[in-house]
Amino acid sequence: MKSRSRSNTLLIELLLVIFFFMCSAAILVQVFANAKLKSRTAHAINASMLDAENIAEDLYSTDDPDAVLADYGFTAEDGNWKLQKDGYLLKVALKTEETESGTLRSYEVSGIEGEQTLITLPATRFIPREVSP
Amino acid sequence: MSKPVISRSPRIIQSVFVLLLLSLFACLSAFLVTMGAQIYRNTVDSAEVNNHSRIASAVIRSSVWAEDGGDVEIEQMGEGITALSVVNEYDGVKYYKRLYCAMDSDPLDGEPRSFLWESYNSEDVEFIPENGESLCELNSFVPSIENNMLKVELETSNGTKSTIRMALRTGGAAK
Repeated sequence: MKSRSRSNTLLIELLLVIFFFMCSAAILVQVFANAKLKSRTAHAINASMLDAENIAEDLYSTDDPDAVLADYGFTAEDGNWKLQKDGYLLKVALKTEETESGTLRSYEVSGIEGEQTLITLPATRFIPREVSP
Repeated sequence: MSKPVISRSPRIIQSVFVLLLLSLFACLSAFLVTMGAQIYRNTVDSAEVNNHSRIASAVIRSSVWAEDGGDVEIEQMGEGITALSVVNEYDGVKYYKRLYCAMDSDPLDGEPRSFLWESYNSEDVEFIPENGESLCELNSFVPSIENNMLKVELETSNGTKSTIRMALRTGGAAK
């Protein structure tokens, strides 16, 4: 009788331990999942920033931004240029404004993951109008 | 005679159940620890790669932007080293800021590894790769200039390749 009681106590103890272990495991799995997600987001931010800087430099140096974006593989959608990369979306918004003294070209390169905007890199270039002597 | 057999049966079942629970506990613990270790390793590796590529990108861009008034050149320095050089002249003396990839011993384990280096010296000082300063681990660094556009191909320590493109803004650039 005494032996059976001890065995039951052990069983209950073990079940309690497993219950608490499961609770801890559930929390830990959530923490691990968050860590993985943050690591992936950090990688996407880094990669999209590198891409955005390169695109901004190329757009700065060209006279035909549409051709540069098409070369990168961007497609024009809803007035913006979009390119799906591994884990994030690159979006470029181009705006050209003609003024008396020249052309003001502004562009904004964004990296987007799901609904979240990871980075935004605005850049502007002013191209002065050639003045005849 | 059959009474002891009947009373022993539930005890055996109980023992087996306890053993099963213990093995389940052990398996789950091992799984959790393994998964945690794997995620930790991936996170640290990814952070290191991000860090190295950001350092390399920031160093190259800031070096060129800071001294874009000078000439930006690609130099073959011997020993298989290709350097990106930004040349400026002060008081009639040329000064070279060079970025290149060369071997260095790792500060943690002393093993020789490929690093990104930076050196700054005047034209009358001989270029010695070891006299520069190692910045971060980098497997390869291949600069090229085409149509006033500087292009640097990088490979980080884990083999990830990336490209840095920069428009050289000043007239003296791009030789």
